[in-house]
Amino acid sequence: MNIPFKLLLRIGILLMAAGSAILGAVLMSTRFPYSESGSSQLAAYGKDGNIRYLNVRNYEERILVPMDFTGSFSIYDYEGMRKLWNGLNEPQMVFAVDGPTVMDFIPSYRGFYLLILRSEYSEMVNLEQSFVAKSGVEPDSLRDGALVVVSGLVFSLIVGVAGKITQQRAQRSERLR
Amino acid sequence: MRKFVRVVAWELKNIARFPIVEVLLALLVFQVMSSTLVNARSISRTYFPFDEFPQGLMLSDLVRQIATDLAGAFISTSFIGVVSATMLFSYQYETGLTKFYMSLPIKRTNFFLAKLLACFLVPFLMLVAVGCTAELFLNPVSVLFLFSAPMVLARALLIIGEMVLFVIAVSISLSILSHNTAVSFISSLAILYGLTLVSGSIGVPILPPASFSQGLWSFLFYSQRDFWSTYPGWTGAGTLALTPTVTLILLVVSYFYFSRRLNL
Repeated sequence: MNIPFKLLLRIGILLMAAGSAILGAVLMSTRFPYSESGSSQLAAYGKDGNIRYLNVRNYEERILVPMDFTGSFSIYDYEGMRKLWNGLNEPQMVFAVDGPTVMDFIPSYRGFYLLILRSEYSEMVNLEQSFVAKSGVEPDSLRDGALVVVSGLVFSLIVGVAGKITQQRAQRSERLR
Repeated sequence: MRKFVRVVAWELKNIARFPIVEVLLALLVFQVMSSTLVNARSISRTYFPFDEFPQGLMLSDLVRQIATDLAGAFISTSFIGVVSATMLFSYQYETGLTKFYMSLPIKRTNFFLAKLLACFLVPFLMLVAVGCTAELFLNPVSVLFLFSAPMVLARALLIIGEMVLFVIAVSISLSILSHNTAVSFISSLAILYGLTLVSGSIGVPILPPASFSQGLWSFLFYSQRDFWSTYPGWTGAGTLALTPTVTLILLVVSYFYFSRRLNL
C-alpha cells in the first residue's frame, strides 16, 4: 500500500499551525471583562427569557426589582432546554430572587444557555438587569487550543517516524535484491 | 475534463508549497478567532414564549456572527488571494513556466480557468475550514445540528465566495497586465489595503470590504425591507451590484488578455 506520508505530515503541521493560532487568539482576546445591562417590565407572575452565549468563566447577574419581589432565576444548558421544550423543568442552576439580588455562576461548558426570570409577584414591576463577565482566562478554551497543537504534533511525529521506517525498509529490500 | 482536473490539481500543488499554506492559515485563524471569541460574548436574544426548540436559532446566530468575522478578515484573505494569484500568473510568467505549460496540448481558455479555479479554491476552502473550526470551537454541541439551518450556511458561503472572487480578480488582472511578480504583489496588496481604508471612512458601504461585511451581510441576514430603508434607491443597488460588476469586468479583461494578447 502506498501511504502518502508527505501529505499526512502536512496535515499534522497544519493542525499545529491552526492550534497555535487558536491558542494565541484565546490568550489575546478572552481575558478582558464584559458587561451588559438593560431595563424592561415584568408582568405579574410573568417570565423573562433570554438565550445567551456563555463561556466557562465567572459571571455575575444583577437583578434590580422592588424589595418585596419574589421569584426565581433559572439557567438551562442545551439538555435542559431540550427537556424544557418537552415539558420537563430541569434547570442546571436555580437561584431564589427575593428583592434585589446578585448571583454568581460559572457555566460547565461553553455554548448557548437559556436564562429565565420567573415572577411570583402579584404586580407588574420595573426590572433592571446587568450581566457581567468577569476578567480571567478561559481554561477550557486554552485546553482545547493546546489539544489541537498537541494532536498535530503527535500526528506529525507518528507519520514522520512511520515514513522514515518505511523508507529504510524499502532501501534495505532494494539492496538485498 | 480529466486534463482540466489534472491542471487544477497541478496548480493547487504549485500554490500549496511548504510552508506557504501553514503560515497563511495561521494568520487567517488568528484574525478570525480573535474577533469571533470576543464578538460571540455579546450574542444574546430575548426568547420567550418558549414555543419552539431554538437549535436552528442558536446555529444561525453563531453562523451569522462568524460570517461577519470572516468578511472582516479581508486583509488576511487579500494576502492569501494575492499570494496565490501572483504565484500562478506573474511568477510563472517571469520564470518562463507559462511558456512551458503553453507548449502542452491544453487550450489557453482551459489553462486560464484552471488557474482561476485554483486561485479561488485556496482562500475559499481556507475560509470555510476556519469558519467550521470557529463554529465547532465556540459551540461544540453544534456538531449535532450543523445543517439545521442550511440557508444561513449558504448565505455565509455566498459572502465569502464573493469576497474571495473580488480579491483574486484584482490580483489576477494586475498579475497578467504587469507580468512582474514584485509589481503585481505590492500593487495588489496596496490597492486592497487602500480600499479597506477608504471604505471604512465613507458612510455608505458601497466599496469592498464594507460592501461584504455590511452591505451584502445586512441584505442576506436581515430583512430586505430594512436593507432598502437603510440604503434606499441607487445606494442599495450600488452596494449590492458594484463589487460583482467590477469583479466580472476584471475577470473578463484578464481572460481576454491572457487568451488573446499574452506574448510568450
